[in-house]
Amino acid sequence: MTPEAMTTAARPAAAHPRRRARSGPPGRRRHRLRHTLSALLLWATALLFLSPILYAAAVSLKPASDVFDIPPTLVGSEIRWENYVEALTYLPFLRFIANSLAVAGAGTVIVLTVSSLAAYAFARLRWPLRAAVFLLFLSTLMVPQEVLVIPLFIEMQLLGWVDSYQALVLPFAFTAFGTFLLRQFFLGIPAELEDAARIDGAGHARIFGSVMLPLARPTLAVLAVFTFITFWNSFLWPLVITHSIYEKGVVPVGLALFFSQQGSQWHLVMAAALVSMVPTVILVLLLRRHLVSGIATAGLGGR
Amino acid sequence: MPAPTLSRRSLAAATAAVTGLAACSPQSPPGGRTDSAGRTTVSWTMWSGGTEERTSWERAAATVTEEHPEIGVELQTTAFQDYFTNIGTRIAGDAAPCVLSMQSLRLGTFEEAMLPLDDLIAEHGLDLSAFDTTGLEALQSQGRQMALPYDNGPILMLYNRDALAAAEVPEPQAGWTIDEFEETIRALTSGGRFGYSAFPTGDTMLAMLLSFNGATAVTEDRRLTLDTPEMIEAFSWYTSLVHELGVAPEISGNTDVALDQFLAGNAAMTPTGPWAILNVNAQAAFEVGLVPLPVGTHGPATLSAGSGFGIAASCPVIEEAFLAVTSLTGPAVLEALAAEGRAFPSRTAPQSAWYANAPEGSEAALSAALETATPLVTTDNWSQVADGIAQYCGQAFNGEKSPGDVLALLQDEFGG
Amino acid sequence: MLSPAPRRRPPGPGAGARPRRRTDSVAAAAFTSPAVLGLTAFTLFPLVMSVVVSLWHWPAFGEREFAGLANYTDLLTSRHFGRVLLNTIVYTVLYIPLNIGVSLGLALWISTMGRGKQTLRVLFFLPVVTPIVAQVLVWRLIYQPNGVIAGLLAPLGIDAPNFLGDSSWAMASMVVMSVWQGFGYNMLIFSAALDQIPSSVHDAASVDGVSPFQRLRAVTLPMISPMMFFATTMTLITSFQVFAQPYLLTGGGPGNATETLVLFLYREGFSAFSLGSAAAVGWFLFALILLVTIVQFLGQKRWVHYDS
Repeated sequence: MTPEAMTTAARPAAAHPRRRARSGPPGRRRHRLRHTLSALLLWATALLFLSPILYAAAVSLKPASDVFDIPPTLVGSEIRWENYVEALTYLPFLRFIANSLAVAGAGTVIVLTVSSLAAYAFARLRWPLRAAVFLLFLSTLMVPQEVLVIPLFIEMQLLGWVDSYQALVLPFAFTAFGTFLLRQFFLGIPAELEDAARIDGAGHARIFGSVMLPLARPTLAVLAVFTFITFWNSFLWPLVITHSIYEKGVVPVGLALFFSQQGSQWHLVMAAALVSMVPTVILVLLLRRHLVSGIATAGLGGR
Repeated sequence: MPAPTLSRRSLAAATAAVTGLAACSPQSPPGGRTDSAGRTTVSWTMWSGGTEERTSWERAAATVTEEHPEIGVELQTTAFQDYFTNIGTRIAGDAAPCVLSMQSLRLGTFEEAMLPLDDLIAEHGLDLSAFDTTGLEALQSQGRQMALPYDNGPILMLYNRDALAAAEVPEPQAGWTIDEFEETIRALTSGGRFGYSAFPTGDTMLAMLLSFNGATAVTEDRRLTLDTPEMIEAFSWYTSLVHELGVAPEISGNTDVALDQFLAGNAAMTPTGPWAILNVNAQAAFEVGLVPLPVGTHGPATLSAGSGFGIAASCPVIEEAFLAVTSLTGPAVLEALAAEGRAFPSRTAPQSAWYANAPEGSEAALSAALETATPLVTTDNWSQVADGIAQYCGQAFNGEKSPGDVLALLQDEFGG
Repeated sequence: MLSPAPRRRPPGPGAGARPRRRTDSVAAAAFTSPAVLGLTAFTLFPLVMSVVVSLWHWPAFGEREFAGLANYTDLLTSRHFGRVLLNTIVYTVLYIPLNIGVSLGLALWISTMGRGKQTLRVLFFLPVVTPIVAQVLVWRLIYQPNGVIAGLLAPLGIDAPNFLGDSSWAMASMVVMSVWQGFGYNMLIFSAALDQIPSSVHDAASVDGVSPFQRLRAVTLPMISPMMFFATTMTLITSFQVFAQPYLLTGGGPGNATETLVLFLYREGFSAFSLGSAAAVGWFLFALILLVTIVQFLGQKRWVHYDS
């Protein structure tokens, strides 16, 4: 139970009584029954937790007049797959998704690059005032976005970046969270690896690129997922900074357009919302292997 | 040590920059510019929902260029619920557009940033007699015309004709009383369905309160008067519809779902303005009827509200902006908007185009209501008042707090 | 706490040949410059601007005049602000235990599964992925009078309360929705921590005849306490910043039962356009978060085990 156990990339599987219960006396079989029941219950709980999303899907297939049925129904008077087509034509929603993809994608790339570079400096380089600057970085994490919105808007105005793509990406592409996460990870890499590379004559750039980064893949994957989701769902800043919504709007801002002075399209909003989940869900599925290991190997435990 | 010095230096720079910000103007004046070929582009902000709505505003912008070839209009739309936040931020950040779409309800908040149009109207000899006087009045402040109206209309009562027929309830006629109203909605409340649908808003609810006993929420000189005895009496009656009589669904959350409940067939009656009527008519799976609001102790009365286009004071191309505004409120654009049901036009001539697509009996109902309509005058902090009404009045509707207490709280918070 | 020293293995046999590094200032400057520049430009600079703005009466249109600390004192003496502060604290006090409880509980439960662990983790993570705007809309429909919950309880003869319209239920309803939306992150974090406990520990404990509950309390929880510390701290910070839920779900109502600090800030800034006051609220928020985080860090010695 040494710190090493917490920091190595090895994943000792959680021990499992089931392994011993594979075959054997009735006591073990009862244990297996209990376990199966537990599994069933857990999957049922998962279904329960997902029910709001399933309900959204149900609403998305209803005709408009059935959304507020009393008592509420799962299925309306008809199943309207056309709602999905209508949602995407009522508003240029595919364009909103494309905008979100561009913004979230660019933002994630920038975050990964900038954070890993800085994290390496905080973890593996020695320089004066390193601790103080890191503390400064950390303290910026506590500043809520809403405090910055108005001054940032004025700043964008000064730069002439109002209603631009860079204004959507850059202001939040430098948050300290990624640096924090990756620094924790880099701290856990044994010094021998670095020393070996150094003996081979590698400078900092090469150590960073060939030794540190490849090892950090799981943690980078986690950071990528979290960052992408944050950009994708970001709501207040795009609201304030985007003026030509039909050209540059992103998904959350676009969803608000379904509610106009002339009536609200609840069924279409649900359809659009579900469609807008697809890219993020795909990302999560692609990187699911790393989700847990990336956090584990960051070794957030032993500071 | 790069980092600390950088922070200190930037601190000094920042302080200097910010204190100069108040007077500082951005590089290129936003809102409009004239290029070397003499063509002026004027930016115009408007609220809009789906693509269809957006397209009709784009057509309006194109009409401006048709009528004035040297002027181009750059349209920027936002969702209605975010529109006023958006332009407020832009004005605060010195990035206001030239042509500003403005609701009469928000005029009090934004008039300081807008240019009075009287001189321009006189200069260009614009004939205002073709406009509806209520529409013009709605966009006036302290005797100055702050914007030209494109749409204006009174709050009316919508009802579900099929539901009334099914319950064998006679259809209401203009001049029906509050008692008849209560009787009707009581008869329509059965089997989980309600006779009426209410929501605390700054327009429909205040219109109903006015109709009940003449209670007004704002004086002529834009002072808030929510806790007068008449207001409390009217508000108590209105809230009792929900928690005592149970003829309207409970209030929950802060989104106005009154129209949604009506469209879903859960409520047989609800008040609204002409800006929504044609849309409701198109969406409803039943026949829609219109009637002026029920008459209370003060005689027939309702509130009217409207929207129009004004010019931001910071606009660098005022002449061109004014020409754009005259086109946008001109007969061609208003005729098109009326036919689409996008607006009940504030010019009298195109109104027939609106009636052509409206539910049966709308002309009679609207004319009757217009005769008794007074513009809804609002305070200059109306955004907050409207938010406050939605936020706090629910407690009176569900019986948690007394109506008098809620109104006193609102008056205390937002009055003065 | 910040020095990596405990992590470094002592130099191996080749110690003598390892060159003694002088400071890497140049390299450090190069590596940190993008982050530092970005943070300065987009966080520190607006932050400083926000401090300056908070010292002024700064309406959106009209005169801007210097106000000194007036914005701050006005807030301190405002009953409305006091209520808003209280609401935010109540929200946090309700939210944190529920969030940690649900995420830890599910992480523990999932870790007892053999196959399907990964699938279950992804499934429980899905609420995090859904856009907040859409979530709020769905939960609005669910919480409506005559909505889904009311519809489910009606056949059982239970009259559902007006979840969003009743002051005694509104905050709790908002908390539940927030927990549903946010617990996924912590669930992953705890899953990671649990996965790291070597099987030898579990085997040793069960051989000793320790009951699962005792094992949980005496072995598992202490071993994952560093992760719990991280999760609690980050969740505390974000829960003080809750905005989208009150803004979209209740508008701060009924009354001001669910009006939280950031909603108040947003309204001061974008509804009342009183930018100076909004900036001051932001600084109160920052001070609150800083205070609580410091308390957390000081308290960690008591319950966080770095070595077991």
